[in-house]
Amino acid sequence: MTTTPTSGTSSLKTYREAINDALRQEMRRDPTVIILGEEVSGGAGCAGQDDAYGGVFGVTKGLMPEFGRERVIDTPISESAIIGAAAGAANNGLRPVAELMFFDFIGVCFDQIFNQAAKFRYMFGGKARTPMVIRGTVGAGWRAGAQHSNMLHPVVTHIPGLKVVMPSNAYDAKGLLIQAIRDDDPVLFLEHKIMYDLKCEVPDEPYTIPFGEAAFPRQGTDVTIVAISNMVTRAIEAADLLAKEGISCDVIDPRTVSPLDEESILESVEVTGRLVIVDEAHERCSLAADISSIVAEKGFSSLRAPIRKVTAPHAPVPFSPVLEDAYVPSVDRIVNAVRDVLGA
Amino acid sequence: MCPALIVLSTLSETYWGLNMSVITAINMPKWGMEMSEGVISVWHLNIGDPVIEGADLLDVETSKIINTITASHAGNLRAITANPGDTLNVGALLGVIASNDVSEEDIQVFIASRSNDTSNHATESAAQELAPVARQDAEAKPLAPSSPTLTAASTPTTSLGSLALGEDDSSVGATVVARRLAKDYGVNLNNLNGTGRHNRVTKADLEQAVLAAGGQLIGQSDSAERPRPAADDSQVKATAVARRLAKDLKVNLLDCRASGDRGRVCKADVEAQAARQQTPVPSTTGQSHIEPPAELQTEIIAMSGMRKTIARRLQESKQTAPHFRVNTDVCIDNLLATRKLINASNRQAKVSVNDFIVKACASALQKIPSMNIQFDGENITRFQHADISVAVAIDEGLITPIVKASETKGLVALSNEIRDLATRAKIGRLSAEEFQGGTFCVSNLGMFGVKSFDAIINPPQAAILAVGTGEPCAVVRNGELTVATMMSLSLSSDHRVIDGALAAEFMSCLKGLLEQPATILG
Repeated sequence: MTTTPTSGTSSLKTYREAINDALRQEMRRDPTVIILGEEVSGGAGCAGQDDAYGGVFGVTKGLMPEFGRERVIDTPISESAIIGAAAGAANNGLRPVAELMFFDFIGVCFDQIFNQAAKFRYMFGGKARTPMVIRGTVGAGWRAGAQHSNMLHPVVTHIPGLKVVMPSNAYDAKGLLIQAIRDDDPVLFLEHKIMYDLKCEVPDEPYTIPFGEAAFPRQGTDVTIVAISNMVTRAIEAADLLAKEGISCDVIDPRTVSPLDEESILESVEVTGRLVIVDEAHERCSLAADISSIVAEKGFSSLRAPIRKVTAPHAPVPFSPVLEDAYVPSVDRIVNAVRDVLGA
Repeated sequence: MCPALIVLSTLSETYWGLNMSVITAINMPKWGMEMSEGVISVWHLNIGDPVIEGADLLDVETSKIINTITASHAGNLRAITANPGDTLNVGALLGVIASNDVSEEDIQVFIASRSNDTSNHATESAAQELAPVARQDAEAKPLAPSSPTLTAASTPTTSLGSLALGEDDSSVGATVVARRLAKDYGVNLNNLNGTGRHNRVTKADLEQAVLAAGGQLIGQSDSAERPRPAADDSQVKATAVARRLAKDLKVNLLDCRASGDRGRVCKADVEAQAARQQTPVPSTTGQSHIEPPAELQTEIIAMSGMRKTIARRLQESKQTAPHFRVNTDVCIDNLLATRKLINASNRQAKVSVNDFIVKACASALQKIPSMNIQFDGENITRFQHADISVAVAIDEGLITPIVKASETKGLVALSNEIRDLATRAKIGRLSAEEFQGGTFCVSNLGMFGVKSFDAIINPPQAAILAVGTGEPCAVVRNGELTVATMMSLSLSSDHRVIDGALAAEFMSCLKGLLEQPATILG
């Protein structure tokens, strides 16, 4: 269950700082927690660079000086090596937090993830544990091109044996990452690169958020909007706009897509009878498609209108900033979808 | 709460309050092993009426029969907690008998103490039909003095009693929707058991508890007063077909039970309500002067409990038991002569051909015990006595009272017993053990002039004899054409446990007994 901070102090932190906080506090608490990835320390061998560079996003900044190169390991540019080493380390008693600078690169280490790490516990009859976390950045909007902007959570959500976490704000990021590090199964922790600078009030002490329990950043009774990761921000914006028109929306952030809090989604739809799902992934076989099928199958009698999915088109992320902005589901599209299911 | 002495008996429990006044509960009885719930048909008394011991209180319909509950104690009928049409589980409280010197408050306390029976109502929808009685949860504390009278409706927030009590529930695990609704209902989450992920309290947990405590779900209005044609039923959860049908039949969905999936009103519920609405009131019997439009000249008839039971059991039988038939024709001239002799010699006797057949079957079952069985799909149970069911057509359907140990009874006694059973079957006054069980069945349609027919086995029995009419026929005997009164018999057997040769042997034996009735004595 949720552990709540006791001291009560908190401060405004960015998503990046909240993740850094979680890593630091867990590394202090548990000496078996290690970090490995490309440039997680950075600046190695450069004179005068005592502080760690902390990767291209600066998430692991300051950890190498505190915990040393033994525990904050800069690796060669080989995702298969990073994940393979992390999976092996996890099997042998460490709690590695491996970083894929861009989650788009799981292609080269996917065997280590889905056919090794995900299956150890199962294939060794429960005798093996793989308490590893794979952090990676996802999503478009960073002008990073088609190969660095994918939203690949559906690929890993499909795999049994993996847990998939997608925090949508700094508070959740810290609590979920601590939970992920303490979890005994491989956890994919997907950070949306657009959100690193988003701030919110985050407790200073460590705390955990259980997997599989959705958050409701907005509550309402007319329409249920399920959104994930960066789309939560946009869904909230849409809900606030609609609230001015008297349309009240339940905005559900599942927070973890595997396990998924089906219960909360179905209950909310039971109340509202209308569902809009916002997912930055392509529509086919996406989380939106998955939730849509769950509700159609288990909550059909509650539905008063067809389910609407708001997703990215079935196309690679464009490099053109104008097209990229058009590609990602916008607040307007969410608002229109809500109006649509309301028949308004 | 005053110390209570509660005496449990089949139909009632008695409660002595501190002042030694006696309160007697009227409970849903259990008539037979299969009975799990009953439907209130009609109350014979009103609240306040004096009750003498043995008086008829109310009629309850089960899947088999309508029977009357009689008073086990004298007093006054002080409360009625179940209304006609309500379906309640066995043991559920139906009403309260007490003398007039028992205070209304004590009655309320007693009812409240019984309301911890969360399964009082057979279905959630039934709970909604009941005029909401102020109930409390398992702690069964006395009602607040301001509690309304028994039949007064109460709002969800005030009727949930101690569900509302408890310490700060902000740290109780609950889904967001459940927590929100708990606030609306005024329920403290500490009082609920969570069955969701990480034992969270879910919306379903909450709604279940609210219903169990006698409350109503928000958004599902009280349907106690009906009909309410004007009430907006657009928010009632109903299947699309039910909604369409309700419109056609001018039924308000608020008045319907919701027995469908996820608590929705389904097609059958609308049909049942339509049937209830069409029940003629005494003053308007006779033909209606208004000719209904041509397309509405059909009538939807609700399945009675008995109809449903017949449908279910016989469908199951026909689908699971491989039936085969063995037919034979029996000359009954000797039988008719013997019958005439017996009826002439004994003024009390009115022995029928069917009585002879039952008696002969009893005798044949004794001679061929492999036929005297029941089969439950796994085990064959062989019986010592021939308990023969006799199919009796009644207004609502069909029932098969049993002549127990029929081989031990004389023909006249047997005849009288069958007549008694048939008479009581027709007025719905059989007790459960009088029609449940049996090792063999006789179904006779001869009185309708039916030549012959095939019957469906009545499980757990394994065979049934179908009897046609006896009529003069041309038969060849010893190479010569002659006239004899012949009757067709058709035996349906379950081939899983009765083989052809066995059935044939039984029929041959039966034929012998019927053609030479004197041999029944042997």
